Amino acid sequence: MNQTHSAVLQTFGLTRRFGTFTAVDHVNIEIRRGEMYGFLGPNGAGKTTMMMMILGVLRPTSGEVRLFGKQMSEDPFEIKRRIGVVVEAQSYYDEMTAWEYLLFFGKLYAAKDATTRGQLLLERLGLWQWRDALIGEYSTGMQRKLAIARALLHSPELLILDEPVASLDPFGVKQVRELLLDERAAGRTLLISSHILSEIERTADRVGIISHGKLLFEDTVANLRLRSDEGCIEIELIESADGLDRALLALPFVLKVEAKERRLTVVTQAGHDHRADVARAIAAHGALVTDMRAVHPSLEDVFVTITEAEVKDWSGSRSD
Amino acid sequence: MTRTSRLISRLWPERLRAASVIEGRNRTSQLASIGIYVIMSMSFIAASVALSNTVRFVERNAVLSSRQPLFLPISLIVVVFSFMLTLAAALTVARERDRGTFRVLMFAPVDEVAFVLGNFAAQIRTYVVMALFGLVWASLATYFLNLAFSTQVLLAFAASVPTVAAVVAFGLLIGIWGGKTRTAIAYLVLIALAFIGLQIGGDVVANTTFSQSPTQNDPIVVVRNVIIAANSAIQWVSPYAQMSQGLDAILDGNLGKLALHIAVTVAQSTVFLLAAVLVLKRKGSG
Amino acid sequence: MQQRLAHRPAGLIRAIKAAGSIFVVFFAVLGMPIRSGAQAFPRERAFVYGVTNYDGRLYESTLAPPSVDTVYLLADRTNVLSPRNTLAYFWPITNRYQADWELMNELVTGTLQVSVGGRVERSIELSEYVVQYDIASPQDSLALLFGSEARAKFTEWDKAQSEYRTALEAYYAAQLRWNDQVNILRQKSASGIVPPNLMPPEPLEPVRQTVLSSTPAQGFLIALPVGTYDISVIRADGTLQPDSKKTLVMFEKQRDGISYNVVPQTRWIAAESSENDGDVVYALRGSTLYLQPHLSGRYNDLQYGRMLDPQDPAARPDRSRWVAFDAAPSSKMIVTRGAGPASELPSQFYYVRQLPGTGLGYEVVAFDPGVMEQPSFSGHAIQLNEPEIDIYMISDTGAIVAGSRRRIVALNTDMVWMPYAFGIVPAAMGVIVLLARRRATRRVGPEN
Repeated sequence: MNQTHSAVLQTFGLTRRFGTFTAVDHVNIEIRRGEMYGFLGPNGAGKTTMMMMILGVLRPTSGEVRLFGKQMSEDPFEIKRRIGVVVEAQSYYDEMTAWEYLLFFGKLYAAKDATTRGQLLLERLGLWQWRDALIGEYSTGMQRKLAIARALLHSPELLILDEPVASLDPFGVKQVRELLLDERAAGRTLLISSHILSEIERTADRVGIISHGKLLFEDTVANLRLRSDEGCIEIELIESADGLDRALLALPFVLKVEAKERRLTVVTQAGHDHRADVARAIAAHGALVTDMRAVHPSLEDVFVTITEAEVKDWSGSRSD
Repeated sequence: MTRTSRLISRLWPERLRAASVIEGRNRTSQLASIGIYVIMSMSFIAASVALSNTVRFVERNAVLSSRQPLFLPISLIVVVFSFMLTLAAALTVARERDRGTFRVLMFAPVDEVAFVLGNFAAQIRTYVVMALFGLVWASLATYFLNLAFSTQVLLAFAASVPTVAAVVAFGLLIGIWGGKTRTAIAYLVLIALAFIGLQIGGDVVANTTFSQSPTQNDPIVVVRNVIIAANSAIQWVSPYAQMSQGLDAILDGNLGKLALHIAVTVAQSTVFLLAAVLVLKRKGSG
Repeated sequence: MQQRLAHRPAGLIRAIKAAGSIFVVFFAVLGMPIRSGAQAFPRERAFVYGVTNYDGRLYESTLAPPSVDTVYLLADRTNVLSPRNTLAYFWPITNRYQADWELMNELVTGTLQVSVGGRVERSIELSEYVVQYDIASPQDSLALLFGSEARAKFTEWDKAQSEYRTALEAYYAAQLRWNDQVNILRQKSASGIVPPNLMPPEPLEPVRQTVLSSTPAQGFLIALPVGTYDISVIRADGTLQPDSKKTLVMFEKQRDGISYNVVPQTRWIAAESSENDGDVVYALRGSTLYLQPHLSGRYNDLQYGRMLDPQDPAARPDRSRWVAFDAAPSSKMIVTRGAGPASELPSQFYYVRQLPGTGLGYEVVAFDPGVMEQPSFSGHAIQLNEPEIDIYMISDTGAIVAGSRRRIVALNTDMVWMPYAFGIVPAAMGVIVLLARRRATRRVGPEN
């Protein structure tokens, strides 16, 4: 078992079965100190089960989880004190005010300067003026932000966040994003699971994609994009040109051409920059290019590609 | 020191600290809600009715001999308080699991032992506050009605604490075992009815004489003996049965019997709390 | 509806079904022994023990039928178990088995085997016995006589009774003659009054016989120390008498004490009993109470109750009872009123005199033997003018008699509303707490 001491979280062959159903299947991940790790997967992929095993709430069927180099059972209180958690289905004490709630958890985590830090967090999340309101009266978005404040209150080394920006408006999403980036800059490690792939794409250093309990892919976002089978070039001409789309389609590496007046979208095979070849083909046709840009596939595109393929493989293997 | 003993020596201070935080939160929440104040008033009014019946008796009959006229009112107060706190204990833990806040607590430096102890301690401390109110009520009644002052009243309230603790621990166990809030309440009511039913049934059956000459092997005699034996066993398990034994011991001045009663209720509390932790560990955070 | 049922937790449904089954069985069992009053109550030949037990004061008689498996007797005092065949029947009015002695009352000859842990400790033979006592001082004169002394004493008593009856008949006859003589003299006298010098002496009534005695009977004399024994009757032919096997529990007093009958002047026929030395007697300020002390003893409720009645279903093993004895202690009653000096409170006889007139009423006055026929009651009178009075008894040696202390307190009935008033205080506090909480929290505004 290779233990890297800069690793904050490691899982080794982590597996969880519920009867005959395998929710998590021999997953190995390693999250290093100071990085932001995005955890992606379709619904029912096993993300929440993974997180629950990491947090010690669910016992693995087999495999091991190490946090800060230790198993949870070795020093549960100390390990939990170093972690901040926001889960998707968050629950609150409706009869408490937000401030009471925060200070309660501050005491539980033995947070230093809980009142100062609590005020800072609530101010950044726009909740300070509502600190004396009962949580039961908070909107879902406000409750989500309060959960994030709670998770950050004790300045944990590791943040585990499941859908941290769910139910937030765009302004709220921005507030949370900036806060999390500041936390990362302060040296914290973040494990984020989210359906909002654009946010992961914007913030994560590395991403792991899980589907049907298996970890399909784990790498940087940049490398992940390269996994896409397609590239895309957007072209703007000085004027529309008849037949240009057919001419471009004749090129061996071109998969699809969409022409709309002066704009062309050319989908090519991935793995190589085809702009020069396309430019030559356009020039040969007699058209003039005013703008040409390579558009990288989004994380969403890659995610769908990878998981669809896995679904096909999976359903194909099942039909065998 | 072995690794396990090092872990244990680190665990317990952490547990107690976490339990103390949970206790503070729960107790504050309880004292900040109108419920316990209404219950206190209701129990004091009921106790006042019992006491005024005693006064009326003296007015009608000119004389009354009594070891402690306050014991029936105090019993009423303690029973009402303990029932309310048992229900509160069961509901608190059932609701925590029902609405998912228990899981959030388990993410924090809290474990099942700290959770149970914290909830237990909160109810006991709340009871101590309520008992102090009860003591003030009893003292005012003693002063204004010119009842004979007796340290038995003080002792009765003090001795009620371990009894109420056992009842609260029982409520915690039922709340955890029941799972859902409604199920927990139903279990609590059913078990309380069963205990009371057995106690009443035991008295009724013991007072029944059979109209045919039964032999030792008559099934009716066997069933009756089973009910009486079950009732006797319940005396050791049921905290409410222990409560009346404790009061009797105080009235008799039997310190040995009182010490036994306290030991039994402490043992009951310990067993119920241990069972609550085990059931909670088994059920997980839901 | 079906969906609601389907979603109800399975465990809860199981629990409700189990509880329901238990209640059904429970009430079925309770219902079994209940019978209608119209049925006949057959008499069956049965072996019973006739029990003559000492209850701490006198000897009482009771019955241990086959349905009773344990007999309770006071230890270190002679009691009697008489083995009998009789016709037993269940009498629903008293919920007891009774014996029809008139139809059948056969002595079972044999020996009583007393065992402990399967080992025979002793065998007791039948003895003849009588119980005698003087009603003038029953507890002092009580005697259980057995063997030849029983027969001799009974014969002596019987003779004394016979002589008394004869003397009484003679007295009545002499009384009649004397009445006749007095009438004749009265008629002869001019004034109609017989001069004292001529008055013939009135016949003297023979001294009343106050000793009571039972008739001689046969039984096993039981005088065993505290403990639990197994008993059975071995008949003369060596066989075990069926239904004679029982458990015998010999028990003793838990504690001595003094109990008081407290007679209030305003309700002198309804005395209150104060049995425990921790009791406080509550009365009204200015009232007069009469205290009647008795020696008493505390016993286990089950043991004492089943001693008096082996079929008593209500006696409880976890309770105690105080039993007052008739003999008043030969000690002085002392009263202290607050910080004042202690003084003696003598006992006196009192007479209840009805007040003249149509209204109801009476007054209690000191008994005057010259004027009043007989006292209504006796006691130590105490007037409650202070908030609190302490009383106790001291013996001839000056020591305080154990269990004799009592506090007598004047209840302040005018303030009965005060506990109610304080009862409202917590609710008021709760309202304040609720309002304070509402003030401390704010509502979430329209911005969010």
